[in-house]
Amino acid sequence: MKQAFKQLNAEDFRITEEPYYLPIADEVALFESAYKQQLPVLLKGPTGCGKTRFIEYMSWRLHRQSGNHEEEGVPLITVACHEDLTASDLVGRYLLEGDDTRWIDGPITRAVKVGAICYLDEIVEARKDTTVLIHPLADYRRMLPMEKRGELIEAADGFLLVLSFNPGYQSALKDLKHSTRQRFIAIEFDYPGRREETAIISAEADCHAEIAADLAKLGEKVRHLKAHGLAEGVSTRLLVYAGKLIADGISPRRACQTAIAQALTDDLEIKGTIEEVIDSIFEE
Amino acid sequence: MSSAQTLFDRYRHELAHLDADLPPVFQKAVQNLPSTLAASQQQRWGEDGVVLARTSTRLAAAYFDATAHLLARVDPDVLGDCKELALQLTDRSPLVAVAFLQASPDFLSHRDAAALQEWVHQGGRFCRGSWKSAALAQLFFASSATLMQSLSANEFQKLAAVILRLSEHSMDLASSCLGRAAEVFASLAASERLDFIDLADQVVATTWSDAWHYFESGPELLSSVVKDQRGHFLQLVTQISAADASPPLPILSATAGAIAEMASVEHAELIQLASRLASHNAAAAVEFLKSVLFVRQRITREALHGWLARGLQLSVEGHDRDAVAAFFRIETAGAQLLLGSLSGRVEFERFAGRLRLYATALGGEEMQLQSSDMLAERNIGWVTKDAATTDGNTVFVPASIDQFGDQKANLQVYKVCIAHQTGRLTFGSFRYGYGQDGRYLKSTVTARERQLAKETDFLHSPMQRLFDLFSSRRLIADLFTIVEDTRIDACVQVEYKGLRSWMLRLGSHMASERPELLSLGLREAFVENLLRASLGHRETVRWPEEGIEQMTQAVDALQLMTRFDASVADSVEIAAWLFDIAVALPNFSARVLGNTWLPLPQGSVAGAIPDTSPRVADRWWFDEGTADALQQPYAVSSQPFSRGSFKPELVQALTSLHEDRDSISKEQLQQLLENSEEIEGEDVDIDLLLDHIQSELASSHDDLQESDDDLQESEDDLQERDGDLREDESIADDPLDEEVAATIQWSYYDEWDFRANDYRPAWCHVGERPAGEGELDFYTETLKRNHGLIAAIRRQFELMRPETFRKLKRLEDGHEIELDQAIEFHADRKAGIGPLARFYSRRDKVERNVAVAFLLDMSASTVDEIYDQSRMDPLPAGKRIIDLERESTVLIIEALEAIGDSYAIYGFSGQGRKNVVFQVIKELDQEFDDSVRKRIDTIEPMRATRMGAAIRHAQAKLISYPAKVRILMLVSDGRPQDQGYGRDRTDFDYAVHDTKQALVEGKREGIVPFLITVDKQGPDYLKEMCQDISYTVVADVASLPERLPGIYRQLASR
Repeated sequence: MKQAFKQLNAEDFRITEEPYYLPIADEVALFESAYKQQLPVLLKGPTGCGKTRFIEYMSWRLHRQSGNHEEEGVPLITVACHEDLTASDLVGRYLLEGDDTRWIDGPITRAVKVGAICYLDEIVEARKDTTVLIHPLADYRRMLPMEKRGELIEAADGFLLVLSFNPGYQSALKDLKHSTRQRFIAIEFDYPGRREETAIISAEADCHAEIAADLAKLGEKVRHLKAHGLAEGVSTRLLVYAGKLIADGISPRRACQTAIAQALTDDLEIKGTIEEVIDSIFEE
Repeated sequence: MSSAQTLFDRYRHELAHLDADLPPVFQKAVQNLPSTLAASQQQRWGEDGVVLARTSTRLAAAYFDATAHLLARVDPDVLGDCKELALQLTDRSPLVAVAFLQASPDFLSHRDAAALQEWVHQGGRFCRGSWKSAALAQLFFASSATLMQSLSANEFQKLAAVILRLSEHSMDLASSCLGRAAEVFASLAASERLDFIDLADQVVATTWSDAWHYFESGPELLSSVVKDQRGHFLQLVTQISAADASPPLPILSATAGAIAEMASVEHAELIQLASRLASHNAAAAVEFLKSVLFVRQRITREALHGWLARGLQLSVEGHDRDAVAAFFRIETAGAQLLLGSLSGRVEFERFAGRLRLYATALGGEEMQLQSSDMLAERNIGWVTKDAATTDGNTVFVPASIDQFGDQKANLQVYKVCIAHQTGRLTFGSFRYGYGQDGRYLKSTVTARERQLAKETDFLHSPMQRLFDLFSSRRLIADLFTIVEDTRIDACVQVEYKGLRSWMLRLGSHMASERPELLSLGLREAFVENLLRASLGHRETVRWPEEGIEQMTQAVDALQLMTRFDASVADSVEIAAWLFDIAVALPNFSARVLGNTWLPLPQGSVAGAIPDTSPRVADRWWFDEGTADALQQPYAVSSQPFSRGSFKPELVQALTSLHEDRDSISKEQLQQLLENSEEIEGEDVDIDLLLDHIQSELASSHDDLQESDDDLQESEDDLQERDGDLREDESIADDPLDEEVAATIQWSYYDEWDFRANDYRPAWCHVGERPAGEGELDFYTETLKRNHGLIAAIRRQFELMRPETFRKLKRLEDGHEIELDQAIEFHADRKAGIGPLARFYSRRDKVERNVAVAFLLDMSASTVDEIYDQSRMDPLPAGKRIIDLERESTVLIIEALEAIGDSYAIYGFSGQGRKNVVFQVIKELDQEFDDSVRKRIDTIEPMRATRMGAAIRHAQAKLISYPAKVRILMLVSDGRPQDQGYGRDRTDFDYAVHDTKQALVEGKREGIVPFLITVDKQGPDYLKEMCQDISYTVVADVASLPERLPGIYRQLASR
């Protein structure tokens, strides 16, 4: 099945098929309530534990709940933050066209205008000035100041600001300012338990249940090594990758070596240990 | 008148005239003359006697006395020769001549007359005019005969030469050795004597003062070598000593001691190998022998050749002699690596990091892993040193494993051990609740209690309460161990499928090492059968024909535990069920019974749930003739080491003790330990144990708090090891010792041996501790005294702040327009290209992110006072280098506080590689407060300067600190120097190279090192040591305090 090229405006992107998401606790109810009350949300959790998938799922779910009117649904605009992300990248900029200039809305402006969920992934990676920009949007004002145009935009009803943040690997330098933090309700994510993770892996990777269970077991064991030299535990995403490789016929040990041991660390000793654990769990 | 009378009469008068005592002697000699002597010969003899008497009457007396004995051995002509020789000797000393005559008959009984001349010549050479030399010569003649009993002519001659040579150094020593010689050679075999003399010659040639010790202890040392090799061994020592002109005695004692440790069948080979090595490198041969025991414990005899060959190759390749010796001392990483690859044996220490991580992965973050000897040393109820076990928090594994020939397999054994022990924890072996029902079986404890008609102690741990229900504690403990281990093994095999094949392989190995069934009592054999079945070898079970059905039932019941969902309570019930069968069996020796022993029938149903009431078979063994007298006490079955000892009752008790010290009374604990049959008769100090648990508890809390900072794998080891170091006298004379020792954290660093071109692994032990606190006065005084200077420094440092603003260019938005970019943009636009309007610039505040560690030399030499006439303002009397270092510290702290960089201040000193003292005055992340001020006061000169290790430790701390720029400033007063930091006291190269290597390591990690020395000779070695590393020599020591902040400012604002 080949997917053809498709181009959309950011605000037109909607999730129409249900993404796979296995609720772990009450996060779905919490998010729904927050959305209803227009409370900005901060998703905390280690990498690859399902934050992005959750927000996709919620976008789809809220969309579905709003009935048959497609237009009233909740589009999702995702911005992956990086070190050079400036305020104007988010808000918008003038572009030159011939001798004229033309204004282009940035993603956040689009979200504000159409009432989308604006998801700023890994917000601490962005430059400090961008975080200040979102302050008026993230409290009762729900306003976006556009300095260059001398305008203020009041957010449409469906707009919600969602940030993700990984408290684990940031250095002391990259922490969220309290003035930012305290504008959000925070939903904490962690790696799922063995049973849930088994279900997730087997659904996502489409692999045998026994393999999924072993991968989940491996995940649990490897996460014990966190704080013993591993900066981050193995993510569910990597476990799913391993499951996919296995489902495609790669031997389990080899699949785990490439998808997990090698992916996680370059430290020989820890890598060696992870491989020992892999060898202990999977037969040759 | 007889001819004898005539002869007597002829000389009597003249002799009497010379000495009245002579005639009777003469008369006696005349009477003893053999009748065969011709008259002319008699005549000549008499005349000779008179001639001698004229020289010395004692000489004549000796001559007369010896005559009969001489004539019995030689023909009469020799008498005349003796006279002549005696006269010759008389020139040197009459007493010596007398000694010669007295000794000559015995001499001639071993040698013929032709040897006389040479003998006298040898003896004569000892006489060098002094009475001592004469005495030595006398001793020589007197002891010759005895010596000749064990020595050949050649050997005797050589020995004489050795003694003579020794006498040139010390007459006394020569006499002592000669006196001892007879006994020594009598104790040696004929084949060893010549070699012994050769080595003696070598001893005299190199270290003559050792000669006596050599004669005294040599034979005993030699006796540790197998008999037929002693000669070769002596040759080897001679060869080694001769090659380097090194003292042979220490070589002899070291190598003999080393060889003594080895099996005697290997001696010949070892000596041969060593002498092959010695022909290339003598020192290495000694090291080879010294290490050989260690090496052989790890590798096979064949592999030893490979080991030696590698060392020889190093030698041939032209490596430095020291490097080769270091290889054989196993002090180089290369040597250890090779040893590891040749050896199948796996040492826990070597793989500790990896295995600990593995245990953590399997058992969770709290899981600790240690070597079993640690547990036995703690004396809290476990005694086996070579088996795996767990005490509930920590898994213990044997210190080494050598089950299989190759390392990979043995590492797998470690993994199996760890998986089994962590399995006990994760699969709930210790989570038994008294009276709990199993998943398959109902609890029978209430019924048993009723039967017992006694209440069990509620205060005991559940397991202990359970065991109290049974009439034989040993038996129930054994059975429970086997049943529960079966369950755990089954769980582990399901959980870790990858280990299954190794578990089976190890199981077979263990099953092959089980004791012979017939050597056991019947009850023991029953338990043994269960254990075999539990190891997966049902086919090795044997049982008397009459009871085979029951045995089958028992083994099948055990199989129930292989179901994955069976619980510990099921184990308890099965064990109890088996107990009822076992306890009914008599413990007669299985041999006495004389039944036919059969294997179990094939194809029984595995995992059948047994009837809760076992069908007790007919008492088939019962025989009136074999009465109770044949019963032997039940001996605890030995568990395979991988499963190790299992003490659930102790673990439960300890766990509850950990939670609450008062949960178990002292008496109960005492009883618990007494019940643990293995430690019967040993005294366990309960108070000590309670203290131990308490302190462990406390430290585990600390660990939790610190776990973020310190992820070093072997923390616990270090804790354990500091016990040894506490005995080190170099710390012991520190008054703060007791308290300080508890706070020392040990780290281990490699040291660079430039000769071997390799690291010496974990060579230096660096003990980090907080510096003591002194008074505040010093700090405030220094501030007051230098207030002008400090103000200036602060101003300078505050000026550094603007340097931290960086200009960002090519922005779309900013405070200023960059002209160049703006013009470019404009031109582009005119040309019709539409680039982005990025011509703004902005000054952005970039956080200054610098961490600096100051490492102060606290060596003894910093005590030196400074006298400097040239200075305008004379220094206060008695100001020492260390005082200036302290003062500099104060100034630099003031400066750094102004700028806000993270900084640490450390001091270092120490003595020897095992005790590098590293004092923390201020940590990188520590706030500057009064305690830091007070610590500066206690910076005092201590001992030596092992710079490399201290640098490595400071760098390790810097690396773990988050900062963009990391700087190490080393302030010292001279070259690195420590005991053992180089070949000898004059070898500075080693220390310099190691220090350089340490700095290079830091550079590689992105640390900027900088050296400041106040040593005027600094440039000599700094050029070598630093090469591309910046350094400065502060020639005017007194200016150090004002120079230091300046140097830092230059360095940190680059």
